Amino acid sequence: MRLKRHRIGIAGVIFLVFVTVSSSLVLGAQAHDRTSFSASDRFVIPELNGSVQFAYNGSYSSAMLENNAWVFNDLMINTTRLLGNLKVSVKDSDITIFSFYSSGNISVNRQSVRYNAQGAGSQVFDLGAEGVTHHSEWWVTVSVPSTIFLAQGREWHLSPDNIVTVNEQTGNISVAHYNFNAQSYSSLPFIERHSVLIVTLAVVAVAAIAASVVSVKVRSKTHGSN
Amino acid sequence: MVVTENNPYIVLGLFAVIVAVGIVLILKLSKDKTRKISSLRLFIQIAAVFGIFMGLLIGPFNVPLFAPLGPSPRDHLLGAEVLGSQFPDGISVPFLACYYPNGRTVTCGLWQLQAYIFPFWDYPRGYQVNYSTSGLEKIAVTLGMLVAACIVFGRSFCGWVCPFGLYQDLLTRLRKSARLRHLSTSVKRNKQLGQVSYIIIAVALLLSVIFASYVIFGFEIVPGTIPGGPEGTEAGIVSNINEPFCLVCPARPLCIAVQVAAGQMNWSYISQIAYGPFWISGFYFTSINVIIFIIVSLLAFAYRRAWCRICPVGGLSALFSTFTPFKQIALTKLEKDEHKCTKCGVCKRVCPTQATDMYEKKGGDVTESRCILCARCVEICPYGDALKLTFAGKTLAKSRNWLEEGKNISEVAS
Repeated sequence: MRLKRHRIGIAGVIFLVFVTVSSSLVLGAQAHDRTSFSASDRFVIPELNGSVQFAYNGSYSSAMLENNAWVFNDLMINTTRLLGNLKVSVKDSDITIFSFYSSGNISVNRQSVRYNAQGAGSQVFDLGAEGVTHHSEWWVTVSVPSTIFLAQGREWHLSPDNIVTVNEQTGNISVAHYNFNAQSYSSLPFIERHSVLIVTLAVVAVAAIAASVVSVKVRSKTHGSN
Repeated sequence: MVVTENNPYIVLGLFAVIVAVGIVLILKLSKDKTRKISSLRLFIQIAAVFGIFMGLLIGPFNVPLFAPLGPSPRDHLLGAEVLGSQFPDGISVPFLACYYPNGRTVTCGLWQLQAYIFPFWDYPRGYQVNYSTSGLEKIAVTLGMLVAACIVFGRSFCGWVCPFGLYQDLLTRLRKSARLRHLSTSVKRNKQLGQVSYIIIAVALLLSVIFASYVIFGFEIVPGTIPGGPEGTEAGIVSNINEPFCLVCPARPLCIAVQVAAGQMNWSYISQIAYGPFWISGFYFTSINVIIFIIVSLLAFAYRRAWCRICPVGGLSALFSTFTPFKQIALTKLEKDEHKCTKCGVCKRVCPTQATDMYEKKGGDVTESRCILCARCVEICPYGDALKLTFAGKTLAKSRNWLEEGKNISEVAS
């Protein structure tokens, strides 16, 4: 019995050492593979006369210019500390990216990029949104200086593959997407679809009836005592 | 025990226990009968601030926010996760509790009424939420919740729960500590002020209907107010004319300040967009909000509960709880025994909203539209059983013969 416990203890220690060493190796390799950039680095797109810059230092696992678009994998800006893949193309303008965020889980999908644009060209973003998205899930704003929501189909476009193109805007621009993976209500039966209204009306009816009964009782009691 | 946004029941349970214990302690330990209700009320008001903004109690506090509107786990807190997505904006309540980007436990009923007319009449998406029902249905639900709440509790929300009421009460305490006397309006002027709340409601809802004319009536009265728009624009949703009353509401900056102070909202996140024309500070409050907040604060310092006298949300409660048939069936009432009243007038003097029915009316139900059911008059009345705060015929609080204890009226009624 004692020997068995001893063996389990040794196995546990070996397992812990293995996990620690392997995870540090993986993390070390990850850290080693990352390339840092600084706020002064400029990612130029010569053919489109555009450039991309970051407002803060950061790092990525890889960055390459493909079809006049910079593709940053595992991008992390030091201020946000968030990882994600960003694909950006800029035409006739220079942009400085302040923040970038891309995440998807069971309850919410959200992506965003905030940047300053100089030169009224166009910017094309692939923020990593997956699946079919609707334009109402996207918010594109510009601060000039108060924040104005740009019109979809005019100042910005959403393509079926979730690529957003912002046209002829300068200043601080935000492109954000979120979708709460809400269930489809239209397919629900009538009672479930209108359950809140039904429950609310029931609550009002119960409250009103109960209150009326109480009022009548109190009144009759008062009259009786008089 | 890990308390997260995914586990709101634990937080709610803990919160309920703490509040219940606090109430019992105050009732048991408070010896001064002329301050007992006030102490209890202050405690409940402060507890309500946490209850209303339940997100304040629930981590994580370092949720990354991103412009323009940062969704956070709190968006799902009660509005969606607990009550289901069909209550996306939280429960409609008859007091000033702003619709927040973070934490939607409850939401001001007037905000919902305005927003469900314009811009979300028949629009499937709200601010970071999805709607499953039509504008009329949403409005019916909002009104239903307001009616139910007001039948049961009347305008006591104003006296016991409203965060802006608490703020005004604190201003009153500040004034008192500076040994300054409050100012009063004439009875006639005070009654006239009560009508202002209904004018504000009418204007706010009328403007909302005008802005929503396209989706309701099929033609656009104000250009640029077509939700979705012919080109798929989001004009209706995003314009700065949404929820007209909220653009001038004095409680809004305070609500934001509470969230910022608690670390729920990042100040830089607000200040980044808080520039531009003087009438537009940012998404969450306008310069007009701030100016009116300052003016109301000054007035509330001089006049007790100055805002409550013209508050449209309070007016909504009063509408439901003061006029027949609602008045007949209201469960929470202020009652007077004419045989025990000596017409000393102390109730009238201490009333924060300068209600007069409890003094002028002979007896019976003396609840009126200005009465916020704070029970200060009950607490201060020196004649046993002359005034009562009742719920469903049961006495919650009643006046006591405290004069026998050697105090004098002017000492406590200042």
